[in-house]
Amino acid sequence: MKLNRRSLLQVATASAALVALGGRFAQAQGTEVLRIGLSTYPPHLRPWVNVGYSGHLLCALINRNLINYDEAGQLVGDLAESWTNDTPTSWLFTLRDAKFHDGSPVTAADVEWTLAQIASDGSGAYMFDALKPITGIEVVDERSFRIMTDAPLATVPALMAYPFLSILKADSTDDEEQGIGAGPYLIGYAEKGVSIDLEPNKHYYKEGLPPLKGITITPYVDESARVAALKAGDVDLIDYVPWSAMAAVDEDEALDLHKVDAGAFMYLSFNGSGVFADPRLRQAVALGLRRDEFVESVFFGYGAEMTGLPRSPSSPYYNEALASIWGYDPDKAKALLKEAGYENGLEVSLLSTSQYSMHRDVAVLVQAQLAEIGIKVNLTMPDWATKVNLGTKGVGDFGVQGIGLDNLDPDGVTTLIDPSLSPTYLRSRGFEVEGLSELLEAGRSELDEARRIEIYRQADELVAAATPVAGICYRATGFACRKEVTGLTMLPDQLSPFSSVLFDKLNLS
Amino acid sequence: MKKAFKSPPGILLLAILALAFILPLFPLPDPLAIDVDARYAGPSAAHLLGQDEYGRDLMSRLIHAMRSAIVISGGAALLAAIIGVTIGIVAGYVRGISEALSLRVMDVILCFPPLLLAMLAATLYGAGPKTLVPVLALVFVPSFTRVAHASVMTVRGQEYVDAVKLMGASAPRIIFRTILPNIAGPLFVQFSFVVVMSVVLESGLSYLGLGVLPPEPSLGMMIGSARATFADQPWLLFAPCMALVVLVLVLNAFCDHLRHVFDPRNGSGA
Amino acid sequence: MGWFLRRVAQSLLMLWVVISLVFLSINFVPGDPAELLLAQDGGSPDPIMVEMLREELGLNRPMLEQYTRKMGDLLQGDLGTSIVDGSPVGQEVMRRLPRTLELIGAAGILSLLIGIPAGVLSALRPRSLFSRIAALLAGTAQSIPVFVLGTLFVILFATVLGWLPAGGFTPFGRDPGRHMMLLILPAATIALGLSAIVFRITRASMLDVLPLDFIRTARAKGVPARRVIIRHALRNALMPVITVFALQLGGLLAGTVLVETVFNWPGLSGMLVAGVNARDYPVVTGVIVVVSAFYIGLNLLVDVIYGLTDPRVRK
Repeated sequence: MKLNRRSLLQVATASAALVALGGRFAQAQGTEVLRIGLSTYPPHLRPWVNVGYSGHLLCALINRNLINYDEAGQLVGDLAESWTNDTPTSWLFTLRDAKFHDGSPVTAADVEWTLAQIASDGSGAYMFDALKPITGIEVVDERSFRIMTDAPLATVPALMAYPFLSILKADSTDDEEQGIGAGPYLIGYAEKGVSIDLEPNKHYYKEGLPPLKGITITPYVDESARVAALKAGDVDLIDYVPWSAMAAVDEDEALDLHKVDAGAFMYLSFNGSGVFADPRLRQAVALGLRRDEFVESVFFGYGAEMTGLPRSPSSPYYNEALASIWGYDPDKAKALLKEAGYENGLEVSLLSTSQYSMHRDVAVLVQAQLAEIGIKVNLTMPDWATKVNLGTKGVGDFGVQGIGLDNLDPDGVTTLIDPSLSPTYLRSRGFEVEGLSELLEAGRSELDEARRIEIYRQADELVAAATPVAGICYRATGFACRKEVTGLTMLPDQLSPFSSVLFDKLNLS
Repeated sequence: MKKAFKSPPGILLLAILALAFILPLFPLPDPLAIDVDARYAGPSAAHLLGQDEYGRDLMSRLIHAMRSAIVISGGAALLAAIIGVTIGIVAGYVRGISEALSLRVMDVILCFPPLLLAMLAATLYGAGPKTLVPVLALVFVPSFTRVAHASVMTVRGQEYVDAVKLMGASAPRIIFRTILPNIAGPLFVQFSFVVVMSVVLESGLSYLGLGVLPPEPSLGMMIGSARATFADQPWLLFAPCMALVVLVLVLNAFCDHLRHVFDPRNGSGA
Repeated sequence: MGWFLRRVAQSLLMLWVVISLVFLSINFVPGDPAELLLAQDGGSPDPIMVEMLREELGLNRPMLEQYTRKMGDLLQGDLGTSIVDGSPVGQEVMRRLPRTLELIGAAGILSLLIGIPAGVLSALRPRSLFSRIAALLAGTAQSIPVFVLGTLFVILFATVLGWLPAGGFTPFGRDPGRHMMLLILPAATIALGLSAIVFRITRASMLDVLPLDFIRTARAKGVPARRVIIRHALRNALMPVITVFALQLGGLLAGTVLVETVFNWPGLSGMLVAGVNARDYPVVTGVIVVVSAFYIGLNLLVDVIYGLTDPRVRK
């Protein structure tokens, strides 16, 4: 072997890596196995497809994104070390020295392959739609690449932090459905519907992590059973703590409750093919709801009133003046009804589902409260699958919806508030909010933060005037664990259901 | 018939029916009236059994839930009886291809476990009392057909039927005036049996969210919602559980009693 | 023999009708599997994406084509693949069927152990205090819906007393002890109602048999009372018990929905419910084919046994 600068360097890095690996090995040999009680067994292990919050928990334990959020809601590099907006229509990313489960390095080619898979027809990927503005990827070298867009796109880093945007090793999904990721754990054993055993990834890029010997995930679909399993010590950690049990968990000496009040939220979507084409009626509905009662009774006090669009107070896009556009004002609501010609009462149908108690109970409470201002609400509450189908078809004058946000960019609420987008079951439809689409479009392509803030302020004002949706309340996101569990931290606000991106630190003492 | 009610189970059943149907005529609190401020309030003069998680009156809800359970189950049993008995009698009387066909159709229905069939139908046609009655009826039609068919088979060969036939009576007349009264006993027992099964099935469906639709109260749904808060509010769970068990228990006891009354041997059965 | 073949053909015909009915009805149920698959936890899938997925899954083919293909697959013993996770349905059914059978089996044995001795004792002394209490208990046991009983069991034995786990499943091979612990509560929940039925039929059937001549003869011949009861009376009284019991077990095969829900037991019913909820058509048809085949087969077996013992049936 001819000694030159390059090979010397290679040897040096290799031995440094070996030392690091050896050192980490000693550290990573945890002795404890953490037992997680999950609210559902992931419907499937296919990557990139939305598998819900509990599915995401597994996804985040075995995979990594390019970028992720930290506890404060700031974007931080994950597999990507750095990124810059090097031209108006491209972003240059540099990868860190990370490795997949099999020890092979994470390269730009893997990222290129991953994004191509997501963009392929029929991928069913969660990000299929959101990644459409990306026109191509240019591999610069092994560790760096450019993401190209047609027009300037401010949201590229936020997009890379979306849930289910896991970077997998190129072609690895051919052998195993879930592919090969770069997350802190890998699947050792999985029996559908029964349990999943995770083993630590020896090649994980974060020093000293993961600290556990393994994780066992057992599904407990029934919420009471899940809580009972935690109390009985059958599991160490559960997700989706039912709101009814939060108080009891909080009081329990042996347990810790980790919660974020302004988590996912419940709201009403409107169908403009009926009476709700009239913005006054939409506003009357929004003003006729006592939001504290929803928090108090449906969510047992674990949540928060939703009086404006979900913009985190920590975000620069938060606007005090527009934070409470949906207050309780029955007199104004009645006046609006009168103005719209319905002083003698209005009869509308509300689509919800009886399969999930929070959707059911929100609908019942909406019905009771709107009756007080003279709106008679007829409930349509089929099972969830039928509800989704009917909602897509446009059945019901308005509908009860529940959703979280998948990112904290101000553009994140666009898919909820813009009724001109293609109709889905949880979006308002059939009417226009003049100027809103254009503003939101402008906000996406604006790279200057100050100007973006102004654009979204204007958009939020349009929302306040037109009420394309009516917020009801936030529901707390809760994880509960036994006292021995350490290192559990959560993402802020609406991102909190996706907190498991921080779970590589979970440990047992 | 009178004899059937003049017994402890009969009197208990009458008492429950009175509770469920006559009590709502009095000015009870509205079972749907929400009063979030008074959630989980204990018993008071206005709310004898206290209030639930939405501040609704528990007693009113229990009574209305029992009433709808009885109405839905009774309605379903009646519908199933009318359809099932008609098919069974016609099959047993006319015989031939119609008999083979209708009995096979019933066999097909019986291939589905009841709860599964009801679930499929409830998702197909949507939940709610309007669909619950036909759905539950569908589940129990075969049992009536079988009983009616079997009874007709035993009766049809007997002398008095032949005698009426010889006298030139029309088929419907023979069926309704001669055969039906003679097989009423087993059918009546079957009817009460189906009512019990329907109550249990309805509560199970409602527990799964596929039965009675909110805001209307139902025992199954009340039990389902109260499970979550059992640790703090055990009464909200026990009350509907007890109501449901007592209802089924009394219906069962009445059922046994009927069987006893109509069973010619009068010996077997508890 | 001709009678037997005709009966088998009839059973197969019925199975075909059941499958066709399920196929048709599940396709008419509102709800789109492709859309649901992409709409987890309130996700909002783009309609174009849903359409592409439908195309990929073959859901856009004409109904008749889907039906003939399904039938063709079934004839070859292929239950299809799940829409949700793409795994073979047959394999999953075979994984879950033993768990459900185990649950039913354990409940069945438990109920026989309780029901038969209680029934015999009560038939021997029909007016005794024991008999009355047993009848009362049986009536009560039969009147408690399984989800009520299950809920109360969980609260009592898992939450309050902490003797048993609240629910879940561990494969026997991984941890036999825990496996058995987890089996106790759901099995007991099913067994209680079942034992009441066994008790009643045993009692009734014993009451029918005891006064018969051959029992008296045996007694007169000086056979010990115990022997008379067990060897002579019970043996003859058991036939109706077994018949009813077998049919009850058959009905339980997919009738354990509520127990599986309450106790988080990953059996066949849970698979069916999940399939219905996700509109996973192949899963729903697959489970129902297996369950109804079992049920029809069980009926056939009962008929054949009766046919062999009673020639009159064979006409």
